[in-house]
Amino acid sequence: MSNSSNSSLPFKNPLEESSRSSKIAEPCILVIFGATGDLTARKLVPALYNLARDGQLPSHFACVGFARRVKTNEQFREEMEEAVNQFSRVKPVDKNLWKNFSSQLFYHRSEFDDDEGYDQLRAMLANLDSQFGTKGNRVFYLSTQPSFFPLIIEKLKQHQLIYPENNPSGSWSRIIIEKPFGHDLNSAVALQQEISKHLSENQVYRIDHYLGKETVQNLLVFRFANPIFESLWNNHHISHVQITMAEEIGIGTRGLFFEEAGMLRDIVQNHMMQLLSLVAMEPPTSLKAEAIRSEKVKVIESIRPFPMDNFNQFFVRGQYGKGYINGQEVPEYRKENNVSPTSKVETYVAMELFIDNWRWSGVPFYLRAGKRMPKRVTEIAITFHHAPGFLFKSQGKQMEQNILVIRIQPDEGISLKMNCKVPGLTNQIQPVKMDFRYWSYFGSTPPEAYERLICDCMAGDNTLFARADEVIASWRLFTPILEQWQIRDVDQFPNYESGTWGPQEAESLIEREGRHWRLP
Amino acid sequence: MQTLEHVPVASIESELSTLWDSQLDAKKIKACLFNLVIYTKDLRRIPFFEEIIHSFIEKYPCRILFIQGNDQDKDAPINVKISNVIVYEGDAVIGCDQIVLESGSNHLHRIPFIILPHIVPDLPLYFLWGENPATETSILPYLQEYGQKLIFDSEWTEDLQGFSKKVLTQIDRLKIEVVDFNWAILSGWRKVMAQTFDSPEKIQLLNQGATIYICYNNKKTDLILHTEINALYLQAWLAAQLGWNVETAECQISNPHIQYSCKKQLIEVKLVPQEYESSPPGDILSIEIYTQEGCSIEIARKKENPSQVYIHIASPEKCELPFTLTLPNLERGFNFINEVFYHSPTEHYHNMLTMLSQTRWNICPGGKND
Repeated sequence: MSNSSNSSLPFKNPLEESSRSSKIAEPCILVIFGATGDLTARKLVPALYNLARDGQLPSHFACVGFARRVKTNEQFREEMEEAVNQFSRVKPVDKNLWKNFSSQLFYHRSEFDDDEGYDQLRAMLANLDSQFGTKGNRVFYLSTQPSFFPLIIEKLKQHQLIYPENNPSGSWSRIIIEKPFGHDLNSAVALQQEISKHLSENQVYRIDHYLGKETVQNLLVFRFANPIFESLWNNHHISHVQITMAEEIGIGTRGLFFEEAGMLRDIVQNHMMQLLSLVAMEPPTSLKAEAIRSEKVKVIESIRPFPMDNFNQFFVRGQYGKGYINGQEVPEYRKENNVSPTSKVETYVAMELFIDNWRWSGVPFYLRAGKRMPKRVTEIAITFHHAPGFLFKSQGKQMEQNILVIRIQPDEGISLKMNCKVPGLTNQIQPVKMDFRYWSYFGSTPPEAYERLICDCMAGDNTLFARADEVIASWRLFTPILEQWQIRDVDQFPNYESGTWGPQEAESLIEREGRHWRLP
Repeated sequence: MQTLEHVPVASIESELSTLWDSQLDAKKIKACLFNLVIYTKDLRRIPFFEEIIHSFIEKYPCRILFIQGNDQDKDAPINVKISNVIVYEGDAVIGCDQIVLESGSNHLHRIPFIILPHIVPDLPLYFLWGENPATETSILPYLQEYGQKLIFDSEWTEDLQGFSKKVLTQIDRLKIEVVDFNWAILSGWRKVMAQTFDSPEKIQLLNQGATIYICYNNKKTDLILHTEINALYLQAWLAAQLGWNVETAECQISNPHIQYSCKKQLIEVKLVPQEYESSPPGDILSIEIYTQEGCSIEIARKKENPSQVYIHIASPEKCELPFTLTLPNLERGFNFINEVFYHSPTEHYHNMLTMLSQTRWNICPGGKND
């Protein structure tokens, strides 16, 4: 067993059992830009705390919050402790663990455009490197408004905080970018051009927290580890697919943001396309990041562009009016805080789309996403063709179709609807459901999506992050729709009541094929 | 948990159903991720295995088939006890089945035939063996072809050298994957050591001549008598992975002391028994390393939080800031499940056994020191 320190070969730790841990987060400092924002308190620091709790943080680690407000390290730590107590999946905070974890938390005040602030940051990080043994490795988490992304990246580069991908010193730098990545095709391309001036694609981690969810990751396992389903996963057997992402909440305090974004940009262009591509992709050649991401891009690129002359046939948008959620009256969208009383922003989108490849030719995919729906649910429903012939047809009615439902949230699980004979002397048939629930087998506190994604970034695994061409392809599909909505401002809003499953037009969209939206 | 005793063998399944149906009127789900066959002939160790089951079953419900052999009353007839184990009570009740088979050792040969019909089909079958899997002939040979993995408990051994040799030679003879329980328990410490010594320079600290003190909890219980096994495993693993050669071993129980050499440098390992009430017997408490160059490395469980390990590395030139690592999977049950589900034995285990097989390790019979 050679342990020569002067070997030019990469160091292979003789004490490391490589087959035991598929992912090893490397020593690093995580710098969070926009550290006083909601995301840091609600998701990022609780995720780091839980990683520390589970022994998944690297042994040599520190975290620096970068923001514009004046704050001391101690104040930042106190605020973060409160946040972890409130938002962590495991509560309350373990005092001993927190004491140790918080000693690795620091705060740096600076404007995002202040050169001196970046110089100070560089000095601070160098100092922390020597204190914590973090080897010069950096993860920069951009949790700011998207308009700051190019500026921050440029400043980081200018101040030698970003290294080349194959840095001779061996230190690495990676950047995590929160969504939205652009607000249409042009802006996404422009942002990508700015980023690629300073960073290679392997250094950019475009986060879509949906991909960090256990059940979303399980889609790959479900499809490609169970040949029984994969052999049925095509237009010979599948009649249509419905993907629903419904929330019962409105826009809450996100009025300003939502007025700029809308449902298509906030949910459909990213989260929904991720689900669609995982459901529809071909088997990757391996489980390596590039293999998986390439197959996902192919799906989005194969989606038939919406015909602009009659896109309303395929695309419906809606905005919620007042109504009732859980028996409580809720206001219409236009009366929410920071929302224009004449807003034309969509809070609901439904569409029918087709993937023009051999596997999915002729299979419609119905997608809908909405706020102020009757309940919070995300699911993928695969409806299989009717059984041929009329063996069990009774009173002119066909039997129910088999439906495989993959529930992403809540109550994660998989169910299969099938037909069964009702016991007795007649041949009555009753649909029944086989139901698998994650929580009944694996408990109900899986790691939060951000835990997995931050850990993956520290380990250099970008499988669960969106690649540039994936994002651009998605914008290419939806930007014409956004443009048409600007031009043809004909929708009468609000057009659905809060607490219902969306506007009537969405029903019409699916009914013309003799189908119905599922009641999730 | 409801239990029925003296259940006729032919009625095991129907009685399990009746028992389940008779329970709470709530929404009930019977869950089963795998079959687990447990075997021990040491009646004192039954609570030990029950504790393991208890620690993981809530998260990993399974069908438990627990064979309790009886060497003291060899002719004791086979007695079947069945239970519905409730693993979760909330909106719904989740439960799983437990079948206990008590048998005098003269009837053990009948046990495989009783067990086979009660293995839930299409789900993995795992064995947790309290006996030497290489020499046990009544049950395992008949069942192993249906199983996927066998975890055994080296606690029963009093001759670690002989045990290692036997396992090494027979590990290939067994038709299923074999995992050593004590090796599984050490997985957290192995990870901590790999994270602490994560550069060629730090590995070099160990190889350039050092004295290593491994403190372990020597507080014995009725269930765990050979408390030194984990410490012996850990040092043998280190020695094997770092390519050390055994020079001398004085394994007196009061102060086991092993000398290794690495490129003409001498490395001394001393096992230090200590007694702690709050820590499980045999647990590693701390590792202290003093090198010839004057470096010291202290790796110790925090008293206020034993799931955390405090690490401090200091040399005459530099004193690094201490840091903390988490020891995952402290509970024995979770170690077991982790090994069963997610890991195969690595070459590190093989290397460790090879190292152990080179020396006579004087483990005290029955765990008594004198």
